[in-house]
Amino acid sequence: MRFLTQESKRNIRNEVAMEAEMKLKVKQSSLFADFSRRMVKGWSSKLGFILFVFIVLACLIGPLLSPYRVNEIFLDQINASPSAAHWFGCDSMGRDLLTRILYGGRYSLNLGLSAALLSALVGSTFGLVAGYFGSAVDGFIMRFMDVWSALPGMLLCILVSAFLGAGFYSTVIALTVGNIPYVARMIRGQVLSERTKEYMEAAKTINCSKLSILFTHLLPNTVQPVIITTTMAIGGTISMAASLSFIGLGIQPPTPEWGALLADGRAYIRVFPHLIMFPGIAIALTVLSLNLLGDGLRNALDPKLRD
Amino acid sequence: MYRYVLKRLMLMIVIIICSAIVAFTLMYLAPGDPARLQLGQGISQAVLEARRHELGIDRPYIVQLATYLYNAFVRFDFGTSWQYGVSVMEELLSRLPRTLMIGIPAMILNVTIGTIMGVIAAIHEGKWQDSSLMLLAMVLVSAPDFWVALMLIILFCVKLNWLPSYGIDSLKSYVLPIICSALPVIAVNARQARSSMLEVIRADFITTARAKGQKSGTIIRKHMFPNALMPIITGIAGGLSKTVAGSPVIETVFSIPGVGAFLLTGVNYRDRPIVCGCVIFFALFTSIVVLLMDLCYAFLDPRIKAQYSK
Amino acid sequence: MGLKVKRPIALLLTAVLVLSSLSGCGATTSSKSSGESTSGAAVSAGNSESGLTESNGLYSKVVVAVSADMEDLTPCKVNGVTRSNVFWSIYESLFDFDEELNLVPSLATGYTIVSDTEWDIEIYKKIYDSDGNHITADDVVHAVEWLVESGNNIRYNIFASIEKIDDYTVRYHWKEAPTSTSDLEWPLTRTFIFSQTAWESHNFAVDPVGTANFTVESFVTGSSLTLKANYNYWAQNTDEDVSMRCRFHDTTVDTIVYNTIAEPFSAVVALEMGTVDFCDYVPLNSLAEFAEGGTHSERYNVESTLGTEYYYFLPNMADGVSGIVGKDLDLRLAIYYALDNEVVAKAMSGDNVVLKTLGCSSYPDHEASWDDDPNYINTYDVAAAKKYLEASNYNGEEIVIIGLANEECKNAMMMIQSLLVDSLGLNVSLQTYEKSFLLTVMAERTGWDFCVANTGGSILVDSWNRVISQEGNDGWTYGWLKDDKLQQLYDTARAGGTHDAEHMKEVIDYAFSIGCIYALSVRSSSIVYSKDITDVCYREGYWVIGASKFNTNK
Repeated sequence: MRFLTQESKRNIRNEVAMEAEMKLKVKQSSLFADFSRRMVKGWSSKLGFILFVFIVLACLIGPLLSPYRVNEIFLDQINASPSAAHWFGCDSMGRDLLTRILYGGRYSLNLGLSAALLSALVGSTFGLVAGYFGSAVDGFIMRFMDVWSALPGMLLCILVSAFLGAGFYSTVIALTVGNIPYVARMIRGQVLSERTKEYMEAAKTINCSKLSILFTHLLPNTVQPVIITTTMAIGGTISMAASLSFIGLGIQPPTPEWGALLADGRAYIRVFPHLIMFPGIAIALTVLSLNLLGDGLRNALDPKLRD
Repeated sequence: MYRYVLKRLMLMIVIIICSAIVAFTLMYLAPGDPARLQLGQGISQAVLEARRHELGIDRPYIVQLATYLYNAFVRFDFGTSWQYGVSVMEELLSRLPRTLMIGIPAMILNVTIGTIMGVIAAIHEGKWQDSSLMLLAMVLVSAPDFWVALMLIILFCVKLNWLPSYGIDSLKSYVLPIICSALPVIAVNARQARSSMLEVIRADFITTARAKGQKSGTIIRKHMFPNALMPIITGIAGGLSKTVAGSPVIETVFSIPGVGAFLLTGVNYRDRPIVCGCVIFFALFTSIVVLLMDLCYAFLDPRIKAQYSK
Repeated sequence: MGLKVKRPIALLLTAVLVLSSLSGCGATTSSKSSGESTSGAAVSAGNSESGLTESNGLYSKVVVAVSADMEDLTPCKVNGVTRSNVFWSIYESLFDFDEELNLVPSLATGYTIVSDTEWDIEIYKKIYDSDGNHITADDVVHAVEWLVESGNNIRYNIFASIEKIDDYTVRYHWKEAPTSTSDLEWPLTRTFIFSQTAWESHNFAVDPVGTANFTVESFVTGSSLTLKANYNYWAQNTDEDVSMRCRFHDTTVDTIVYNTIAEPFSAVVALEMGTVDFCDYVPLNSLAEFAEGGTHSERYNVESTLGTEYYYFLPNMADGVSGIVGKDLDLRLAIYYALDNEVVAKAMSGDNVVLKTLGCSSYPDHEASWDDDPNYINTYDVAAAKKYLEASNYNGEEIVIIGLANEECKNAMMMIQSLLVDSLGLNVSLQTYEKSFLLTVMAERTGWDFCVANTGGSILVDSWNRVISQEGNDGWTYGWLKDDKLQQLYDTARAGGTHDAEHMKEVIDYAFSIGCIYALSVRSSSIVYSKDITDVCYREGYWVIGASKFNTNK
């Protein structure tokens, strides 16, 4: 029997801790290598990525390169069809449609990204806390999420929009509230299955604080499905933002958010279909690229497909 | 089994009551004075006060909330619309069939098409059928539903004159709304069907069946499909909720007086009885659908059934 | 349970769910009113116990497209253009206005001036509503008192009380002697009379019972309203002398269907397909195909009239959002001179005609010379605007413009914003609202600095009611202005004896000098209607389908 002096006890503790940390590191590095390898395999996810980058760049740089300003009105060009001077034609007030689409893309993308990220953040926090602390806290938060998800997302958006009024920040909040329960549930499920794993016990033995356990250990390991759904949720929120602007809630004129552009053009679809074709294609392409990207991510991260 | 159902029903009622409270509070705090909304401008304060008292909105929040909840859940009286002057319950009941007339066929359509697409894609995994079908599904889910509606209107109503683009005069006027509601949700079902079929395909018992020499068609019909059925049933629930939730936009574009359009009018006029009534309806609808699907689940999956039959 | 049994059960459960919901839908398909195309077969009046003369056949059915739902048919809810047309077919009032704005008998036979503040009004003795209830003085008193109590009595400024004298006579007590048509407009021509018995047994919001020549056959809220000719119309069957009544109480068509088609392009498609016969909101760029030389011109006529609803740009003279707009005349003048309302009118979907003064030629009391008189409405002068801006105390505060959520108003607001930002560099932001909600926002002193909305009336001086008169809003105008001199000039211009060009010009000049109002444009409305309608009947500028002349020779 070894005599357990203070020093040897400390040694043993350190050894266990080092082993635990090794396990953590191994888990993380192989994951990343695996992930990037599979990400570049599929052609659809590559297409999605390229398309998305192209759209983002176009919206950031395009309005700067355009010879027209966003709200510059040409009264003699009202509803002009596409031509050499105006590649996408002009809208009902004679403003260049291409410039407006590119400029409006900033708002739409911003809305989508902010809302998706915010809902991921808030949802993850709920899910982590619920999953880790369990019992009463878990029960309470999950019932809360049940009530929250009783109403379909679009309806919640409409209600919150009415309550907060129109404007950029209110729309972001309205779009965020729909996604939160979904993310929370997903993270909680992951946490429940991760909780029993060895590295969690290891972390406990090295006396990690609860906060550090939650955010430095649990979060990176449960975040994979959330990354996938957030990517696709960006597309969903862009689409919902367009719907909100279309029915009159959401962003106020003259902001050329894509849904507002569609709403402006709808009276003219018989004679000037280009007014709704181009903004619609813009939305469709953006959401498509995000969905392809998300799909590629899902394939890359799916543990069942791992060799 | 009964205990499970009872527990779920209780939970459902609590959820609906909470949704009603949320909707009521949001509309209570929303800006806009209903008395002024009804009477317009240029009305003296005294008349406004009298109208507020008549509507019951000068009482404290808790009193109004309690009265509303009591009326709604005990007497099933959702109140009278401030803008329309009709009983909200009656309006909802008369508008409900129109929304369902779009929602249910749309759900059947998207489940059928989605499942078929997913099954075919799974069977031909990796080949061109798989990629093209999944790409098609992806494209369908990316386009915003009202934009697709406008495009289809241009094609079928303006250019071809086959279908009416508004109203509820005949069954033909429901065709376009159903298609537009169904399209965005097809992808979700297709993907779900595909992945569950793939899981089943790789399962051991399929290999056994093949080893025993059973024909492909028989394998698909007798073994793969029933086991893949479960997630498809989830797809039905999700699909129905989504199409009913998407109804405000579709009903606006097609001028269909359904529940979604009713909710939108209520929101635009800050008409609290309408909004709360519609919210209760939507919450009820979603909860019932989810409950029925969970019951199907429990009924069909022997594992879950065993859990609850103790 | 074996696999074989589970699958059919799953399918059965799904089928039950589907069928139970579908069964609820089946019931409605039969009760919908059909919007099929009209064929114009004449229905001879002899096949019902009607009092309509045998020689006039009635046109069978006309379908009208309306852009918004009727919502509520209670007698007091008669705001909005479309609703007047409909309400006038269902209800009647004591008097009507003819083209010269004289009082013409409708339900009343005439009035007797007992004293300055007492008028006796006698009604016909054989008035019956569509339910067969006999209308007496009790019903008149009930209808008027109900309107007053409900708070919906607009412009009842001089009304004191009403009392019954005998079964067919009521006495109106006025607070002061009525001097102008505006005093009498709402109490006598816009107050609908109905039977108390009918009121107590029907919900008038969806099932109204009135005395006019049409009854409501079915009302699907949000979708369509069907009116049917009232074959028991009291004025057809009575032996009393009804010859003095206006011709728009005539009945020339058997059924009128109002279909709610919210999207203008759908309405155009409906016109092309022939499912709709009448539409007043065809977009400008689609009118050409129905007018002379267009592809559908053999079936349709197009009639354009300069309307009387015009858009104004009203400042908030209280604090508002900026805190400075209402207090600083130089800032307001800078804004007005920087606005080119020709360009704004052009941006507003095209069929808007620019205004050059506070009114337009479609009003009888408008003078053409006012248009030529230079003022800040008909002058676009950026240099002058900049000078006023320098003289003002503006320091970059945010200016909020609110307006209606319809397309032309939004375009006007965007154009205004663009002009102000480009030439003066002001910090302007926009907010749009639905109509009733807009009114509640305007009713707050904070929250808005300028409002773009529309107004109208039968005479020009009445259209100024909200923006210049301080009676309606507890002593303030709708723009939160309190100015005694303005009110005095306005009252003079409105009163019977001094309602003339000279006094109205004084109001305009003073209003411009304090910069409290700016006018944008007036809508020219175009109606597209089937050639089966040979002559559209107008009443106070609104089309009345039920009395229009139809081509019954087919």
